[in-house]
Amino acid sequence: MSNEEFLHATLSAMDLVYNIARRMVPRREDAEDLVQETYLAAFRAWQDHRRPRKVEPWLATICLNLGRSSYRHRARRPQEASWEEMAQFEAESDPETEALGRLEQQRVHQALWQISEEQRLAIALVDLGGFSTKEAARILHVPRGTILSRLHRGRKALAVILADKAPDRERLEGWGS
Amino acid sequence: MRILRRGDVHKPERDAALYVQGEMPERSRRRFESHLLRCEQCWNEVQQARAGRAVAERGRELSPSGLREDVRAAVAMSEAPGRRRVRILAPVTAAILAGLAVLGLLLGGLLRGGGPVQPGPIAAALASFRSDQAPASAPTLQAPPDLSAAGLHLLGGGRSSLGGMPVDAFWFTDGRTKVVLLLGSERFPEAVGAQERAGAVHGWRAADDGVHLVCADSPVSYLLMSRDGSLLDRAEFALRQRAIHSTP
Repeated sequence: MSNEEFLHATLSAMDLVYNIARRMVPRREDAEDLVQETYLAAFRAWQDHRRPRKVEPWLATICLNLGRSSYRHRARRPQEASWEEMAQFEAESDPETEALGRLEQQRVHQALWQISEEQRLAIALVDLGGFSTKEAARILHVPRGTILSRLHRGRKALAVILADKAPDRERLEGWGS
Repeated sequence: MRILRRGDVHKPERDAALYVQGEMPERSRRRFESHLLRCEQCWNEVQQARAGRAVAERGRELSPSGLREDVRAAVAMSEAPGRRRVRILAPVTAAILAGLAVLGLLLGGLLRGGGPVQPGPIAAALASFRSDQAPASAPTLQAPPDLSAAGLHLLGGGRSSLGGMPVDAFWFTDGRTKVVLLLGSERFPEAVGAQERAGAVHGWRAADDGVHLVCADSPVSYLLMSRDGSLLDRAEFALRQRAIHSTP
């Protein structure tokens, strides 16, 4: 059987899987490994003729399950990993706008690792993955009300954390003016 | 504080989350919006949720360009017995694993009687074309050709390495579909199932799962790809006219 059929059906969901993986494990390279593991597990299921109607929730569920079972013990302290990555970004000589955008992305990533895992995963599925709260509830096997609550509290926490860092951002933006 | 409706339970968090998420039914939404004007708590919850959501969405990331190819290779290798995973740890490791993958696929294909695999540069070019991600990582050495005679305008370009072969890549569109032009300093390997071209043009034509490819190695080495075969012909005609007229 051709693996092209599988890749054709699933590769468009790679950004989604990657964004979830990034919220399961703090290190970028671990997230990339998790994405590969997810696709391999999905491909094995595909070969066994277990083919979903919608690949996105299917891949998200596989990624979450693998992340919980295989990668949890590898996760480092979140702040430590995030600052490592941030230093890497700051050292890169990207064009100014792109660098600011990526720096902002890293700040959000770091902030996401300061909230609870439950809130982070709700945000990863809904705000980053584009799932509805009903779909997210099915993927995480919790009631929809629980997702709404986690989502709401996580969003509020993020807004507070990032608001505290606003002076840094403004200072950075000031360099280019 | 007013309740939303007789019998309803006032749940600012739940209602704000549903409202900001856009998942509140129309009638409930209208009721909630009028309630918002009177309820400071709900108003604040909605503002904070909106701010948090905007922040969260700024954290969305694109998967690294190489990850797609790593997954393709890992899936391809997982079909070979005894080898189920690729982990790209370093360029040297990546090169070794890619070599193993190609070898495994070739052997697997021969043993199973299946078809051969695309050469590395062609496979990488096709993967990049299908992923809608330009492989470019540096400025091009050559200026982009003007293909406006074929109704194509330039989307972008850059220099990259496809399967170890350095190329200048240019992406064009006619507003409907895209054409990718790769200019190489050396000859492109033949794609699987390539047909040698007749006439004065030395090169080949091929198709891979709906993607048409035309290649020639004079007056420059180039590879054109598109899903639209007739657009590809027009693009090549424009390219060759331009190349011929600009070649001394």
